[in-house]
Amino acid sequence: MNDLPDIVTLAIPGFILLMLIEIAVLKWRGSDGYETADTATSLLLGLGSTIAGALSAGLFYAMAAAVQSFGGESLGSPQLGFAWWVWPLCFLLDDLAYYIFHRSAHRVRWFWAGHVVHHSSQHYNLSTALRQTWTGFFALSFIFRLPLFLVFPPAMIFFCAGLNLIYQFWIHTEAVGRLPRWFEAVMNTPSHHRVHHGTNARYLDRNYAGVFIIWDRLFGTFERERDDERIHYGLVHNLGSFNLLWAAFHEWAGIARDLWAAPWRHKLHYLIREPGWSHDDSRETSAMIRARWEAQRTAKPKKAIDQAADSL
Amino acid sequence: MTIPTLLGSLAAIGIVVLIVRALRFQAKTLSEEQAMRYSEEMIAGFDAIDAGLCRNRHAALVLGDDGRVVLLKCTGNRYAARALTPPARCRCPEQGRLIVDSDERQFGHVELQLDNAALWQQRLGGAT
Repeated sequence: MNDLPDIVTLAIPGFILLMLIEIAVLKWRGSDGYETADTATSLLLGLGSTIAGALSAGLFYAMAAAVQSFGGESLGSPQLGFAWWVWPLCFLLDDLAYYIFHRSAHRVRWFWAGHVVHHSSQHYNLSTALRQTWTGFFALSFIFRLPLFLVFPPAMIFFCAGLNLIYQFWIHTEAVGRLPRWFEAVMNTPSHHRVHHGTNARYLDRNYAGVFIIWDRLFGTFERERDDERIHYGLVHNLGSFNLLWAAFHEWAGIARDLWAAPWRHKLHYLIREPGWSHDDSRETSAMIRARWEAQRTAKPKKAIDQAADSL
Repeated sequence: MTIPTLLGSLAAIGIVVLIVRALRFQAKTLSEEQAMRYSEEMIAGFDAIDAGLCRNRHAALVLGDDGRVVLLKCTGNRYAARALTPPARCRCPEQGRLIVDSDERQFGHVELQLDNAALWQQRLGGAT
């Protein structure tokens, strides 16, 4: 049981096939959902991410083993083994760990510096799913899964994490509309995840789920996709460039610049506060953008009513 | 990751990219109305009141009611926006040609062929 297959590698031909089908469908529909340089950037970022992951895998396995042995020997935590009922439990808790990671990755700039790469395309297609970070290990994204190793076998966690990743591939598409209500209620879907990739104020920092959308519903971060609002994908400040290295490292460069320029008492905040935070309020966080949008939304109808009253 | 896997991945990437290129997913050109709408949609709280469209319709400047100017630049077949607060760096090397600096190295400067370049230079310069 300790030698479970690397299902992500096995899924790669499926990824490519689905991408080709999506390309054909979008072209047939007259959509502009793909672009040459964007696709190349996304896929090369994906390849680089795989290489970076392979380089840091040894360290991660060592940490996982250390946590497992700490759990068993020092904490006396139960070692759940490979019984049939452990599998769904592991998958569910791994998905919860993903939710916590993902939410943190949007709320803490250090984590965001790794995750931002995945959001840096203005397109939303299956190649965007493969646009992944090269600095995930450096950004400490692995720490959120570590507690699972206290009780679950490492091989099972890696397998479940792989399944989670594969599930998330197919939801990165505009080719699929809404799915049956029962499915949309429980599972993360293309519709829910389009919201997550939107830069519209309404959609910022919403729908962090990996596989089960129930986490967002439970923790108050769920937002439904609307038909009356076109989604703009990407970042609040889109890169405006297809430079591969800039896409991979731009947020780290921004952190370095801010650390250099900030007064000493604020330096740490540029690492741990939310993206967009600044000590002099010269920038905007997503909460500030959303608040301004809310204020404008309530002011606009009032302005229209006042104008109508004046004209009477 | 083995060398054959790496080469195979690179080949697969090349094939997908070539297919996308062959299918020519092209950028939609802008109208003034679209430029204003995109600016409002991409910059939360921005209220557009006027737009200046580059003659190739792949870039635009949009004036907001708060005096800010949104620079729209075509990136692939999408538009990226930057809200510039006057005074912003720009120059008019010849009549009808305006070069606007986003003040970000990677976003770069955008060159626009405008009917009223001098007016937009004035707006970006913060002059009334």
